[in-house]
Parts: sequence; structure tokens; C-alpha cells
Amino acid sequence: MADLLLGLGGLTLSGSLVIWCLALISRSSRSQFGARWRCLAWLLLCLRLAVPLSFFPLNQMGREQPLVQLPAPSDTVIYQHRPGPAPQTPVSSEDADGAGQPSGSQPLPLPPVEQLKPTAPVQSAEEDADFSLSLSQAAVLAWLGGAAIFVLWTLAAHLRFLAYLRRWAIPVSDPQTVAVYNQLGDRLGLDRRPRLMVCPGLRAPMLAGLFRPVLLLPREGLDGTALNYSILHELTHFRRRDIWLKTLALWVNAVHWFNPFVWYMVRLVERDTELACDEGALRQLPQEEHAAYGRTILDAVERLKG
Amino acid sequence: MKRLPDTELEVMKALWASGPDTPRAVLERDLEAFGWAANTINTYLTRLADKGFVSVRREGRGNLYTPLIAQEDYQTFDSRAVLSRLYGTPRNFVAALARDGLERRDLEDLRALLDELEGGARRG
Repeated sequence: MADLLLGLGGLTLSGSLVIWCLALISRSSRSQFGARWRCLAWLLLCLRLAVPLSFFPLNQMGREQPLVQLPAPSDTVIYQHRPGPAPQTPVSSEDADGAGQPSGSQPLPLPPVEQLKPTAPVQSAEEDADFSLSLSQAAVLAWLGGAAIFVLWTLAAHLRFLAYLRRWAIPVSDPQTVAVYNQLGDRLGLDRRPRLMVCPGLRAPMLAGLFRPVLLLPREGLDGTALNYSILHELTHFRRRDIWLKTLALWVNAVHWFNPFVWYMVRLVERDTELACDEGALRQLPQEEHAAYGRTILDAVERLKG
Repeated sequence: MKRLPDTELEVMKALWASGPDTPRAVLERDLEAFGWAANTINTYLTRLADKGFVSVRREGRGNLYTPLIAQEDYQTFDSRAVLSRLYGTPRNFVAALARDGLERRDLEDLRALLDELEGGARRG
């Protein structure tokens, strides 16, 4: 338990440092390092952060080579079920801090030590002390619980969205739109293409789905060049496999839900995938169309703000 | 308004497509692809009438069905939870920008900047 926590704590701390560095680099020299390269850096970082296990099991190394002594902090029992006025297990703050708690700022939902009135029937402490919870066990439970809630919440939202698509999205039948779509797919050299559907209620085009991606267009408000640029943008997302990076970032967010740096990273990943996608889309367009493309993006932002 | 199950929604879609006073025979023809028995369709129509989605008018030997709730209204209702959450998740086109609190004034500034850049490109 404590080893797992130490691994996770070390990973999340070093991850925070890398996130902070990458955020600084992107802030200070946005022009020098394109969003494409930042996305690659996020991908590598997310791949490492996604697995909260140490690649070099510290405790095993310690056992096999007794010369390497790792100062493992002692694990404090923080809760024992004792329904009597028995003396509480002392929890010194030093021990609690040393027991693999990574950030110190992270509040732990510690179960309160039960306090009963002295009038309660006194039982011997040994009889009921079979349930105990060490600090590291409590921390692991809290971590798993938070991650599970995050995953279930995200999954529920996604399933609800899929149900909505099943009910309302219909394949695009307008021949002009289909022609534009096929043209752009050819231009980007895509052998596999997402299905093209129109979905009422959407305010801007979007790409959805990991395994069977679908490009969704709003029912109204897009024609001519705006339609062209929107489809180009979404197909560029598809070609760059941005949904995979975003999904990976969400998984990292679930594993490191207690780390605000990771929440910040997810927003930077969103931003950088959009910027990298725009960079890629603009490379497909002649210089004189760049401003018009930019206007299409701004219009979409405005529609999303409603 | 109540959320409809998929089956009742399909009946509603057929009614929205055919408009007011749809005769029963037309409705059954439109729903042929689902392979529902007449009794099944009856059940759905009764439920829809109970929920206030459909009005039934008896004329001659058959019934005429009219949707009471517009497709737009129901679809907006159906999307409210889904799409508001959606724009809060990172799956969307430029949602990240929209969420980062880009003000309307910023949008105007950015548009002006684009115009300026475009003018410069033409001159240059």
C-alpha cells in the first residue's frame, strides 16, 4: 500500500514539474515551438502518467539487495473500531506526514475516531479491534474512490451523448456537402474517413468517437467556405488522432484527480490540440485564405458561447 | 415535458414527418420498417396521448393523429443535459477557447486583427 502511494506520489510530483515547465515554455516562446511539438510532449508525458506504477519496483530491489536501504516511512494505524472509552491510538503529525502523503495539501476523508459517551457499556478493546485502517490504506481507498467517480462520471456523460446521437443524428444527404467532404478527404489523403452526419442541437461541428468516429455537423448555419473550413478542421483532427490524445489525457486526469496541475494540463492539451489542428489545416490552405479560415473559427467560438 | 423512450420517439418522428391529422394507415406504413404489430403501435400511441404528445381524433372508421409538441421543442428538451455537459468536456471543436472565457470584445479584436493581417498580405 505504502509503496503504491510512494510511486504515485513521486509520479504525480515529477509530472507536476514537467507540466509546469511545458506550460512555461509554451507561454514564453509560443512561436518557436509549434503546438504540434507541444502535443507530442503532452503525449509522452500522458503515457508516463497514465500508469501509476513504478517501472523499477523499489521495494523488491531493496529486498534483493539489502545494501540499498530505502527509508520507508512507518505506516500509522489511524482508525481502530473500539466502542469504548479506550485510549485512542495516538496519531502524531510527524508520522502522518511521512506516510506517503504526496502533496500535504490533499485533504483526506479520514473516518472520525469514534467517541462514545462514558455511559456506554464498556467492552474490552481487544474484542472489537478486528477492523483497523492504516493511513496508507485510507489514502489508497480515497484515491481509488476518486478515480472511480471520475471515470464513471465521464463514461455516463459519453453514453448519454451516444444515446442522443442514436436518437437524433442522421447521415448527411445533401449532395453538395457530401461532395465537399469527399474532396477534402481526398486532399488529406485519408483512406479511412469518419461517417458524416448531421445532428440537430449542435452549435458547431465536432468529431466524436474513438473506434467508429463520426463527423457531426450542426443542422444549420454552415455553408459555402465556412462549411469547407469546418470540415477541413475536423478531418485534420481525425488525421492527427486528437481524440486519442484527449482520451488519454482524461484517463491521466482520472488517475491524478487530486493533482490540480493535471487538471490544468488537460486544459493545455485541449488548447494545444486545437492550435496544432489549426496549424495543420492552414498548411492545406493558400495564404490568402488564412484570414477567412480564422473567421470561421471565431464564428464557431461565438456560436458556442451562444 | 417527459423524456420519451426510443420506441415512442420513433412514432413521434413519423408523426412529425407526416404532419397533423395523420390517418392510422399512413402512420402504420411509415413505421413498417420497425415490424411492430398493430397492437404495439396502439400501446405507444395511447402512452403518447396520455403524456400529452399526441391528440387523437375519430373520423369515420379510423383515427387521425396530430403531434401536440413540436419536434424542435422536444429535441431541445432532449438535448439540454447532453449538450450542456458536452460543451464542458474536451471533445469539441474550439470548446476549449469558448470555455476559457473569451469575451465578445476579444472576438471583435481578433476579427479586426484578421482584417488587418489580410490587408497587409494583400499589399505585401
